[in-house]
This record gives sequence, structure tokens and C-alpha cells, in this order.
Amino acid sequence: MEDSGEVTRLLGEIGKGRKEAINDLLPLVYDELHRLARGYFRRERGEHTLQPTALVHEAYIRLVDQRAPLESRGHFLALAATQMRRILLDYARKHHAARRGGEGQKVLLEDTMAICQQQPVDMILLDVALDKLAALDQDQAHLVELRFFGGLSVEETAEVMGTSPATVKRSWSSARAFLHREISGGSVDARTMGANPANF
Amino acid sequence: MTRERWAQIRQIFDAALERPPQVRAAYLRTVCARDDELRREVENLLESHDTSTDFLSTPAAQLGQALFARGDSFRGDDADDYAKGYRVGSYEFERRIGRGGMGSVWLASRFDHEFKKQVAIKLVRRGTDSEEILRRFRIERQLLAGLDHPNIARLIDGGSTPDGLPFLVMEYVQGTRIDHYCESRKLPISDRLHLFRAVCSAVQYAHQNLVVHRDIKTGNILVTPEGVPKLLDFGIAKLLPGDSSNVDLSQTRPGLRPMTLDYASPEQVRGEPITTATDVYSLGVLLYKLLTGKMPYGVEGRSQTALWHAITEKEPLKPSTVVLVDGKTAAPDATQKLEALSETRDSARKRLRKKLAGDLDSIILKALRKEAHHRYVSAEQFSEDIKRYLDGRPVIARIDTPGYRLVKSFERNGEGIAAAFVIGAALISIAAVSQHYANLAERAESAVERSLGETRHQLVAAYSRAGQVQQSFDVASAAYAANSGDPQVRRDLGLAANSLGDQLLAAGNRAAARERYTAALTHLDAVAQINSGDLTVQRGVLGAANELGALQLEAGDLLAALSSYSRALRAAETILAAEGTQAGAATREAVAQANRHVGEVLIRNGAPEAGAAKLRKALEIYEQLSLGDRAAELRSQLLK
Repeated sequence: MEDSGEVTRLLGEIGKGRKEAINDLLPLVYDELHRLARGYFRRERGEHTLQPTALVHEAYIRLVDQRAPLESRGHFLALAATQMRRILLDYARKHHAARRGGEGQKVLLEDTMAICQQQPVDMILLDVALDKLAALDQDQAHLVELRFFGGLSVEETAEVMGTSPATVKRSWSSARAFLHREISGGSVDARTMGANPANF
Repeated sequence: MTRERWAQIRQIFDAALERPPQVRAAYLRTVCARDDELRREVENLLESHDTSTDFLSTPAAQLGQALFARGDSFRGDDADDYAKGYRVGSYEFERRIGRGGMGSVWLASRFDHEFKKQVAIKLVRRGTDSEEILRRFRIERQLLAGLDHPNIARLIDGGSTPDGLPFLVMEYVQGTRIDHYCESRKLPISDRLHLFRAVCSAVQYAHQNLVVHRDIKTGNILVTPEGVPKLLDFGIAKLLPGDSSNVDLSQTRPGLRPMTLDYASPEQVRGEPITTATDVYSLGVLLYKLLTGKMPYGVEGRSQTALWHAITEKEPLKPSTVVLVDGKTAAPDATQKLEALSETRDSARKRLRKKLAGDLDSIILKALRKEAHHRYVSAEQFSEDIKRYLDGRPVIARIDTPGYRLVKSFERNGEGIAAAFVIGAALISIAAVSQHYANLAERAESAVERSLGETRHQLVAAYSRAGQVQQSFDVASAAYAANSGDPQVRRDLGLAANSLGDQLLAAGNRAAARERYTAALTHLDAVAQINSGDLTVQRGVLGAANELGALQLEAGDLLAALSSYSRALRAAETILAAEGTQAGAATREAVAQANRHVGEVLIRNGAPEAGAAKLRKALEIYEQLSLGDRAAELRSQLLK
């Protein structure tokens, strides 16, 4: 809404190949997502709020003129997912620092009783593992950002990445397995280099 | 590991996954015949895959929410919660009957009474008593205290636990969710409508007391065994402007926007101001659900995005159509009931369709109109229209349809066709006349609105001249609530919010100041986009963005600060360009300062070169203005 013109214009420029426009775009997207995420995190009851998956979509709806070409939507969601990763990591780091100086303390994006069944995820370890994956396969790391941080569905991810849902699913399986192994210290690299949260 | 190696591992991993688990080992032995290391890697990965089925399966934000909502004192369990037998005031806890992220609800009884009186006690959970939650709690208490209606769960008492957490004592409603109630009793349509009208009366009563519920949905309406519906949970309700209490309205900002998307109105979804029309819309969704068993946009189970778009763009399916669409959940009541009479399911649905088609379709769709002013003007009018339907009188939802009254009079009186034609012709001309008056009324209404708008504009200016910043802001907010589309209104509000921000900042209230500046920027930016030559607006943007940037920087929010300072810079440059050769030292200094801010944040943000360029720019201007001290400061910064 407020930045609709500006964001739409910048997306158009990126579409035309002027990649520097990203520098102007990032702060706007970050701002809006941060605001939405804060609102979301401060929510009080499960039934009273948007789904987390709606965060990047909501940012899209609020920031981008809905008549913008479909291609812009892909650019935007990809960008927004990356920013969500930053926001969550920033939160985790801040939280980490706030807790007893942080030595050896794990920062967990923890599940709670009713919210979901998932295992806790150490945000900072995940961030490191994801960088590792990016070095091996940029697309796979990007996919994880879209799915996990952006909350996009398989179909939406396929749309943004310009590939098929089947490819996304396959790629997601090995990416997840890789990250899980990295985080739980199962790989040779992680053992020797000591993927210890105290190092970060 | 190299990229090529990983590609190889992936390929084999993918192929192995497509095979049944029991043959995978054999497969790997074949493919990785001469490369044991490769086989181990893939096996390792497969094992990781099998033990991590739900890893990353929940989006990060959802996990994050749990962490941030709870704070550190909450880890893993809810052992801290209250227990059976816990006493607070004169109430003794029996069992927990509900819980959420914010707190829990306990069934309790007064223990100083000879007869047992059961109540529901709503508490904030320890560790989640953030300022925001406590504020909501106070608002709920304040709102409920003013409400006394047979269809609203009553507030009995309130207080604080020994450790200082607030609690509310509420009427304990032992009932069934309204939709379940209707289904389990297979209520006929007319009974459902009567029940619904009672809910309308509760909502109307709340509106008369300037309270908007904002969260009307089946889950918040219980029906007692006596058949009395009770509206619960004013947890996110909001006071309308016009109330003199000290609840700070402006803090119920759209940014937080807690709501249930399924029942949310277009304006709620878009984050626009909430009015009583929002509740009318949710009532429409509720009635839709009660009569068809479905949601208006046929998007159950579809993504939230789809729902977003549907709410803001799509017309809802006609209730009478939707009951035919799919056999699974359609028309629980009528279907089952008529099936018992050994009719086929299909014909039962057709019967229901016939009942809904026409008046009920129109009534529900009128409540669900996208534009608030096309909906029923109140819950009462909505309810009255249903009464008209029940009495067989023409409903206002269809009054504009030519020939409608004619048909209605047939239905009701079964008059002769000839007579009906005569009457019909007369009625059509009456309809034309009443349409004429409706148009007149509409025009008069908008004239009144215009003059009201002008009055508010004058008031904002007068308060602001008198230095009464808060009052000026309040009036501007009210004007915006009434007419959010007018650039002048947004200009007033933006400037007033900016001044209020300054005042709050001077008083040391940084959080509130930040909120005001953010709002100021939003509004002023919108105005600047329409008319970039309005220098008062540009100066407002400059001031608000500068202060906001400083506050964000202070909070360690570098990127946000960068964005704010960049806005300030843009505004300063716009002012400079507009003033041209007339530009005074103050304007040029502002440009220098903005450059300097952006430069400093860029440097801190890991972009030293871009940052230094901005600092040099600032330096150049300081030198031109002979501001020696500033220039010296910058030079030393640049040396680093």
C-alpha cells in the first residue's frame, strides 16, 4: 500500500535486468516483513491470527501493485523469503545474546505443546548449515528459504523457481536430509570442525 | 565436498528414495560399486532422511512465534500453570476449560457460598504478561464491564492474583458451539434464523455501547441447553471513537491485526479502519455457515493466499448454489431430515436450495458486500430483514430489484393475476419514486459528510495552532476513520502524528513516539506520492523519518534505520530541488545531515564504500556552509 508504487517499480526494474534495484528494494521488504513478523510473534492466541505462511504473502499484497506481472511476484517472494531468514536469525541472535552471555547456549526455535509436533530447530546452526548447502547447490538453499522461511507451498515454490512441483519435492528431500545431518552433527565435516553453538 | 560430488550424491539419493526401502541397500551396492565413500554418504543421507520426517515441515515463522510469544520462562511445559484447588479472591479453581498462547480459562466456584456458583476465570499466563497482553486484558475488562445483555457472557468480577497478574471472572456458559448445536439438533432453517437474530441483538447492543467485537465466529458463540446463544470472548474487541474512557484507541493498530481469516472482512484483511460494518460482515459469514454448512468462498482447505484474494476480490458463491455443489457437508439439517423421509439426498438438497434461493441469498450476500456502505447499516437492520423474511414480507436486501414486490405479494396473498398486474405496475412506480428519494438521501448524506470533513480539518488546524497536539491528533484520527481515502485527511493525520511523535519523544516515551512517526510517514508518503511539491509534507517526512531513524538505530535495527534515513534524504533533496536557488542554509544543512546519517548506517551495515561516498557528500556541503566543526568531525570519520 504505502510503498506499492515504489516496490512495484523496483521489481519491474529487476525484471528488466537492473539487479542493483535490489539494494533499494531490500530495506523496504525487510521493514514490512519485520513489522508483520513482530505483529505475528506478539499474537496472543492461535485462533486469532494469520497463518505464518501468510506473512510473505501479506507483505506482497501490501507492498506490490496487484497488476504487476506474475514474474514480479516470483522475484518478490524469493526476496521476502531471504529476508525472513534474516529476521528470524536476528531474533535468534538477539535472544541468544540476552541469555546469560550466550556461552554454549542453544537458541532453539522451539515448538510448544499445542502448536506443532516438530522437533526444535537451532536457528544459528541451521543458518550455518544452509550456507554450506548454498556452496554446494545454490538452488537447493534457495528452495529451503522459500519453503521453510517463506512458508511457500510446494506448488508456489515451483512457480517461483520456474520448475515442476516434482522437482521441488525431490530437491527438498535431499536438502532436508543434508541440513538435518549437518545440524545433528552426523557428517564428517561437522564432527571435525565442531559445529558447536558456543562457537557462534 | 565439491559441487560435483554433491550433485552425484543427490542423484543417487533421489533414485534410491524412489525404490522401496528393502531394496535400497542392494541398489546402492550396485551403483556405488567402486566407490565406498559415495555409498556411505548416500546411506548416511538416507538415514538422516528417514529420521527427520517432520524436520523443517513447519514454517519457521510459526516456530518462531512460540519462542517469542512465551519468552524464556516458558520452556517445554505448562507446569507453571494454576492447579485444581488454587484460590484467588473467593474463588476456587476446579479444572481448566481452555487455554491459548495468552492465558487460560478455568472453571471455578465461589467457596464462601452455601450453594455452589460456578464461574469461568480467565487469567494471563505467567511469563506472557507482556505490556501488550496486559493492555488487551485491561481493555477487555473495561469493555465487558459496560455490557449487560442476555446474549453476552457476563463479567462478574475481576482482580489480581497474589503475584500481580490480572484475572477476569466471567459467567460460566455451559453450552455447545452454535453450528454444532444446529447440526446435532437438525434445526430447521427458521429455528436457525431465530438463534441468529439473538446473536444479532447481542452484537447490536455491543455496538450501541461503542464496542466492536471483531472476532465473531462459530467458535465464539455457545448455545446453552435452554437454547440461549451467548457471545463470548471480547479479547480483541475494540472501542469505537466517541467514547470518553481512557482506552488508547490508536494503539489498536491494523499492524497487529489479530483475527480469524475465515470470518474476516475485506477491510480487516486490508488493515483498514474497523467499524461496526466489520461485525455485520462477520455475522454474514456466520449465517452463511449456519444455513449452508459451508464458508462463503469455497476455499476450505486452500491456501491462505487464496482466501486473502477471495475476501478482497471474489464474490461469494450464492448460498443456494453452494448447497448443490458438493454432497459431503452440504445442508446437514435438511438433508438428513428429509432423508429420514426416504427422499433422495439430491432432492433434499434441491429443497434446501429452493428455500435459500431469493430472499435468503440476497440477505446473506448483502451482509457480505465488499464495500462496507453497501452492507446492512447495523446488526439490527440485518436482524430486522430476517424477521421480514420470516413474516413473509419483502426484504430490503431485494427491494431495488424490479418486480420483486410484485412476486412477494403473490406469494403472500395469492391474489388474482389481473389485480396483481395493476398493483404491480403501481408498485414499480412506487419503487421508482423511492429510488429517487434514496438517491436524494444519499446526496444529502455525502454533503453532510463533506461539511463534517471540513469542520474536522479546521479543528485539526486550530488545535495544532493552540499547541494541543493530542487533541489535534485525535480529531485527525477520527476524520481518517470516517474517510480514509481523502489525501487532505491523510495529510492532516500525518502532520498531527508527527507533532505528537515529537511531543512523546520529548516526554521520553520512545515506543509510542516510534509508533507515531511510523504512522506519520505512512500517511505523508502517500500524500507526497500524489503531490510531491507540497513542501510542508516533505518537511514532515524529513522530520519523522529522521527521528524514526534515530530510534531504530538506538534499538539496533540497522536496516530499518537505513530505510528511514534514506527516506529523510529523499525528502531533503526534494525540498532542495523545489527551493532551487532560493534554498537557504537550513535546507542544505538538512541534506548534509541526511547524507551523513545514511552514510554512517551504511558503514555500520557493512557497506563502507557507499557509506564513505555519502559522508563525502555531507562534508562538501558542510564546507560550503563553513560549518567547520561538522566538517572536521566528518573528516576524522572518513579517515577511519
